[in-house]
Amino acid sequence: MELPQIQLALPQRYPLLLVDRVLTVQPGQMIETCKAITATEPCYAGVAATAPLADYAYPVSLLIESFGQSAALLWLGADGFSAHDSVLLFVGARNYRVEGHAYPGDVVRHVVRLEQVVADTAFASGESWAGERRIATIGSLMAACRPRQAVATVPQAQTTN
Amino acid sequence: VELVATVEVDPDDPNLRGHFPGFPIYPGVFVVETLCQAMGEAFGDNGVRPALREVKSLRLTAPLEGGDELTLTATVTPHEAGWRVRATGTRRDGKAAATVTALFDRVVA
Repeated sequence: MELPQIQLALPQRYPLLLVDRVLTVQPGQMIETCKAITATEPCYAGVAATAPLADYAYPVSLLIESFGQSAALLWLGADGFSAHDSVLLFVGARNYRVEGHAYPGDVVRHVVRLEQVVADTAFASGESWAGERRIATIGSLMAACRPRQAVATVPQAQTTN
Repeated sequence: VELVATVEVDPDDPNLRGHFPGFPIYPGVFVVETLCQAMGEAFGDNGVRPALREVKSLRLTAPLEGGDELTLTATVTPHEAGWRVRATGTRRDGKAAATVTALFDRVVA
């Protein structure tokens, strides 16, 4: 699955669409995705020219988001996020362990397993890799699809694709 | 040690334009980012930096829309060679938006 299909399935857009490609998928069970990291990522805009490599470690927050979007692709499938009156929310995580970092030039690979779906909430687990290095293990990540009215106080916005 | 960090949720921030188009909601993972930056400000020193090791628990209980403000209040205690942090985030209306428990390593560059 390439970006045109990913954009049909996920509501996130540039610069916060953090899945570049789906490598493999076993519907309802497992998905493998990738996200390439480059020095032109917006998160590096403020890094000083004299900064050490550690300052180029890709932020854990964005790695979690990228993993979560991969989990959403697995959960919602290729039909994805078609309901314009719903919103996809990250609602929690347990035991997200950082084991290493990704740097510009790395391709992060997420391996995500769908553990459970209860009503409008999905639970996923897995790992993230940078080449042969495992950089994170994820005990549990939770996402939910909620009606827009339950989330927003503003009038329902137009959806553009 | 208690840390307090506040973040304005700017609906014109490029990140929020993509999350989501026409419907800006503060990305929940940015609670983790805010915590990391606050720890860096509070405990980062010449050659020493706090590095997130584990998010033990993160719960996002209420979304923040564009224009809102997140106030993150964290209690930091020494843990092994680093820190254990327990933080709660509230919206401007006082509603609890997030709770997070995390471990940070003390990394010497």
